[in-house]
Amino acid sequence: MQPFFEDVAIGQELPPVTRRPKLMQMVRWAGASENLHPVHYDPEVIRASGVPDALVHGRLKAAFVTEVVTNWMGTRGTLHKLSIRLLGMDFPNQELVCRGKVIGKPETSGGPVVECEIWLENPQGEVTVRGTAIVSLPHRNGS
Amino acid sequence: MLPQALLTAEIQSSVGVELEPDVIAVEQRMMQRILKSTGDTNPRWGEEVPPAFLLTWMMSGAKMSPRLPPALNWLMSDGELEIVSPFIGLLDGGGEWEFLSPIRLGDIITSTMRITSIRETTGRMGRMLIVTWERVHTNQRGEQVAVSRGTLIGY
Repeated sequence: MQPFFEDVAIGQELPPVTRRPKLMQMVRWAGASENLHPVHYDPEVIRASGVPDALVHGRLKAAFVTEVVTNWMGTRGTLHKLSIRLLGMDFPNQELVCRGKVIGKPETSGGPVVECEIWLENPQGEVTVRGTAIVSLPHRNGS
Repeated sequence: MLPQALLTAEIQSSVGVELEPDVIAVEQRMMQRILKSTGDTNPRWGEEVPPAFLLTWMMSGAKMSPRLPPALNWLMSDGELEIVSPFIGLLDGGGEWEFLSPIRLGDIITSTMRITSIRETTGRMGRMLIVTWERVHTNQRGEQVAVSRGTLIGY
């Protein structure tokens, strides 16, 4: 359903996106992004790095949290800006829940602009990705 | 063991250096691979390219730039280049993307990367080099379609 600028309230939560990346999905991302660092898939390098399992790519997690906004903004919304901080490690076969909420409707922008906070929570309850997104939404009157 | 100083004069002189541009033709198979890897099934992404396209575009790939010293080439290749590096590992600190105009299938995107700052600091992993970069993405009509910025941490 298309959200309209007038109907959006500060504090409103966005529908979450849940992912449980398997190693195969991470390898797919490694190929698509040409990020072939072996700590994301090679057991020897993972052991030598002292981490318990393959690391889910930070940018893949960034793509997951971005979907919270792009799914919500509808076909007439536009993503203008995205800021992402990668705060911690995540591992395959864990449920990663991406959430978001509206934190502002900056009047200084001059347009129907909405600011959202987005983040990713792992099963331990840790927030390992946090960011913001700026989107514009259509007005209800069609402008 | 890391050398005495990570931030050598040679590395410091890389601030402001612009790397050789990357040119990518945006084609359907590439988009399908990106969407399949993220699991994004939003029907909007057909002709219009998803933001994940620019999220994938971070490192220089396994390309050695003669404009950078080996340590920075290693960082910028995500450790893929088999060259001597003072670092044990690297971390992606995140980034920022400004989407200025939609990117569509069939576009030819030229992306130019520049090192914007380098500093040395000490954290829980010991001494670290924090490198920030900026990429400007331009389409075949010369229009700036996006700007991305990121942080890499070598330790």
